[in-house]
Amino acid sequence: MKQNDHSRRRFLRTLGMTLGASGVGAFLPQLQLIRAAAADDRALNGYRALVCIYLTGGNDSWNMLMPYDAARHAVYTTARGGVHSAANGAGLAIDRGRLGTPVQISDAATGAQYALNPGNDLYPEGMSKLATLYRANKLAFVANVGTLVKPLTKAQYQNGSVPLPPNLYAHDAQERLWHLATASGGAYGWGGLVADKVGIENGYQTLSPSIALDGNLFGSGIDTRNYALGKDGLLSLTGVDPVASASGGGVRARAVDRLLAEQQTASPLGQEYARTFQRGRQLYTVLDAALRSNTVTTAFPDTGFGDRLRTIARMIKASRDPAGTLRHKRQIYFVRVGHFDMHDGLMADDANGHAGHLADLSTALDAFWRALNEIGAHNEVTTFTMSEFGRTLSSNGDGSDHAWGGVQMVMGGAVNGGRLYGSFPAQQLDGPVSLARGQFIPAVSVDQMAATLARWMGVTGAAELGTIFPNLANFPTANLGFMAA
Amino acid sequence: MRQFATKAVLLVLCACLAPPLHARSFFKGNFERPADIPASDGEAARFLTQATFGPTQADIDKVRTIGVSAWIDQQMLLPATRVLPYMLGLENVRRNHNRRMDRHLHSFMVAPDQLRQRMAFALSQIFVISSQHPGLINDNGAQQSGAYWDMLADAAFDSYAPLLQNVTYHVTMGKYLSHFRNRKAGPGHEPDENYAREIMQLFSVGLKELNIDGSPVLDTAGRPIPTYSQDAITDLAKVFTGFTFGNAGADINSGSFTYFGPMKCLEAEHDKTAKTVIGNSVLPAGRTCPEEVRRVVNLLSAHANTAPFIARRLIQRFTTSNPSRAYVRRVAEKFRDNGDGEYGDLGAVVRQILIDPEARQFPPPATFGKVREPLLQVTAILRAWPFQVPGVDANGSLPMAHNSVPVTQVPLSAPSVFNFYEPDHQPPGTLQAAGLYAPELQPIDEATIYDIANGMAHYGFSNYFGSGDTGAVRPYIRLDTLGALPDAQLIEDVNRRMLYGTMSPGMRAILAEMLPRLASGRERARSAILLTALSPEFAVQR
Repeated sequence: MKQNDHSRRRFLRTLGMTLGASGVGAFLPQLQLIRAAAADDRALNGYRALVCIYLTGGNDSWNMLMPYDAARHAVYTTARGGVHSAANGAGLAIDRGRLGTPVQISDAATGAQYALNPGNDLYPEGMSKLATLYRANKLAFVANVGTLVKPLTKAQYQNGSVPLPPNLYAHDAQERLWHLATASGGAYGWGGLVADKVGIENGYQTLSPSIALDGNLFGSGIDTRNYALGKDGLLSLTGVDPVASASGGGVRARAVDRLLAEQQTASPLGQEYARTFQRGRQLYTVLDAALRSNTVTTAFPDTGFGDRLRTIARMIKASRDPAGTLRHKRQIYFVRVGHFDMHDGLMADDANGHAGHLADLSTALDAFWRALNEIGAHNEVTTFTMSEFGRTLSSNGDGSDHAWGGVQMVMGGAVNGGRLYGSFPAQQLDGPVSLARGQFIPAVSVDQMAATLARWMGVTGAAELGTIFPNLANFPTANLGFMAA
Repeated sequence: MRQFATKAVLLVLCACLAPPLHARSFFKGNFERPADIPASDGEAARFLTQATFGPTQADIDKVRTIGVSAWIDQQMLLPATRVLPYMLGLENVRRNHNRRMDRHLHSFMVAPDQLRQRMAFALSQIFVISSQHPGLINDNGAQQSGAYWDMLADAAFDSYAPLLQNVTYHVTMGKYLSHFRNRKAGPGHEPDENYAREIMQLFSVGLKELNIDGSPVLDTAGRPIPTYSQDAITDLAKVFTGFTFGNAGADINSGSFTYFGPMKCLEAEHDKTAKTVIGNSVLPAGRTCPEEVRRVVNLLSAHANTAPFIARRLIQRFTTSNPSRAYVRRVAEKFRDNGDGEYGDLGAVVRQILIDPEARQFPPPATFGKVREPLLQVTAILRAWPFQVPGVDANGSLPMAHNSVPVTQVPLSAPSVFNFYEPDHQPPGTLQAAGLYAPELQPIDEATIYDIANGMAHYGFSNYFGSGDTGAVRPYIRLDTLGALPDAQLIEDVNRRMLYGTMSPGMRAILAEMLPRLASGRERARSAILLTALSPEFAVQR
């Protein structure tokens, strides 16, 4: 096995030099990392993938996961301005009486009781499907995780003795820090940096190990570029065939491909456009065939998000197929779900309310989980959420505002599920770890959560982890423990 | 010739009625041949690519007759082609966002006020509202969005501070950034911070302190300096309390969305406490809502960041993604003083953007220019050729066929308040290493590039006069004249109309190889147009 790996690396290295010399290497960025990985002895057995579900806008995770025991639920209710009702439109708390058995869970480590969002009349299932997965130990939560430079107490926050992440509470700035997994800034997404290190043994190197269903920085590393896949797979190009031939579409195909390959624009922006278009053209034939021959029968919700998860499942199936073209061993995926910036209408009873968004998320992730079981990849794929910040516990009258620490989910057969990791905070306004409006100082950092996932993907050494997460040494542990070895 | 004289008389009349600001610059010219006449059709077309929805032969001729400055003068005098009156005139058909887009696309193709509409499009990408918001997605939201567009178009060359004030009071903005029905603090609730944050981060000053050339001010440790604190946002949020429908009564929850005037602010729901906002400015207790909003708008308008912040964003929309610091400075200085001591004159700003030596340098340096926005690609392709637009149908509607194809950029429909793309986007790899920005590349990837290509193909390849329908359901280009040309002339015509004469020898050779392999004149013509539309040379407006 070891011998084979070394032979394979030598082969890839030779191939990379050959192709690089002819100029094709520019369009096969994966080949460039062969140098870096050549001395690497890691054993990358089997297939592993991370799927990042990005909740755009800052999920109000305090209404995704809430305490269920009477004492803590009462504290939660007070901080959220009381139970939401017709008479108390500003209240953001969910009545404890509505937290039925299907959404009740407990933390296996402490026995503490919690509940997931119960939905409403339009979404009676709420998040019960994810509660079921949690009880089956396939789902875990990381509580009060957020952007930090180093561990921070409230006193330190107040006296300014510890540096803070820049531009707290701002969407774009905080999202960027989640994608970097370091509050000290940088140019590369942590998923892409992981893929730089572990994507080396993927078979078909023309396809990046980082596959994006939506735009992101997360999957972009030093050598790894995102490859973008449409929600339903690949579109065809009007009037232009995939490959050259004597027909009109084939004649235009030859001309388009020549224009992209031999482009003469002096503009670096135009050159970047050409490279992107050319990657799309180069991968079309291979991926279209791979996706067509790898279907899944599991039904997904008829939404853009459902479509994207189905396409990811098909792509994973195609990538793992030992007889297929792709034969990838390590991949990362990224997909977005929108509409979480709920300054207003948080408690709306219609499809635009938070309960509806969370129920849709739960249904779609459950379908994804079943599809992964269908293709036998459920122990090899770990799905997790990110979101730029948690939101204020206190109400703004109709919703909640930007805050800081929040709760994220991790789902998969390799997850030590049925537990909460990090630290679920005391939910008071201006409490021991919270500010005036119930903005939470994170208990654990994005860096720690990401490093735990990176370790599972095969980046195990402290030094290696340190190159991806430069602030990791500031924190007491690099492994939050939610992944099996 | 007689026609020209009539136009000139009309223009003089218009100038007399126009605000003095415009009249002044108009009368500064004399009757000698203007010095700023572009030296070639290509240079004129390049200018028009920056200033309109795509050069037409008629506009090229005009700019080459009267020069760049006079063309700008004339454009600034033209009134806005409005959206809302069109929508309100529709019968027996929903007045929804598709109808709004019909109107936009039609205006962008044929309306005379090209520069005003381009400026409205640019402003709509700074003061962002979006039909994707649940509160704006319905038909009333579509009409209100039409009204918002008209407000931007009307104010396109006016002063920044009144515009920021009107944006703040507009009901679509109230809905989009949720200061609509935002109430002063009470038991269990605090004021909504959404608008307070974004009016500072995105509409005026940004996150870090700037020099007038747009570069960040750094502290002694070399770090950028935040423009405001979270506490300043929390206090500013209190200013934006009390807003509701303009036709509401004393109850903040009354009123209706069918009223097209500005929001009103109910003093009973307005926070009257003292507030400490940006720059530690104190708003004393007891002031009325309009007094406080005016004060805040003036504070933000006068902030040292606002001139370079707005200047850079507008430069990026018209001419280049990577303006030099000197270019930003020259435009920001116009923002601060239009030459007549007036502050915030957006007309003076856009004029400087377009006449600036950096914008007019021809040929431009390699890094000058911007990736064309998807909507501007479509309009540029249509306007490059003889085209026809459908007349109004029996419902008063203008069928533009944009919903049968993904036109991937619909005005006032961005995914978030951060617009379709962000000003600081750097694609990883070569551009990042070179320190270059490319906002419009942010949504372009291996998948969406196919959507964008197919949108262009819909108007420039699949459908043309004679391809099937009678011409009543969508705009059409005419290919007959182009298709009748021999190969070399056909390529030259495409080069002149779509690439303002800058086509590379390599691209000519590729087209020359392709054309003889295609059967008919139309097939040759539409293939050359499609190939040019897909080319890296057309992708970037330089």
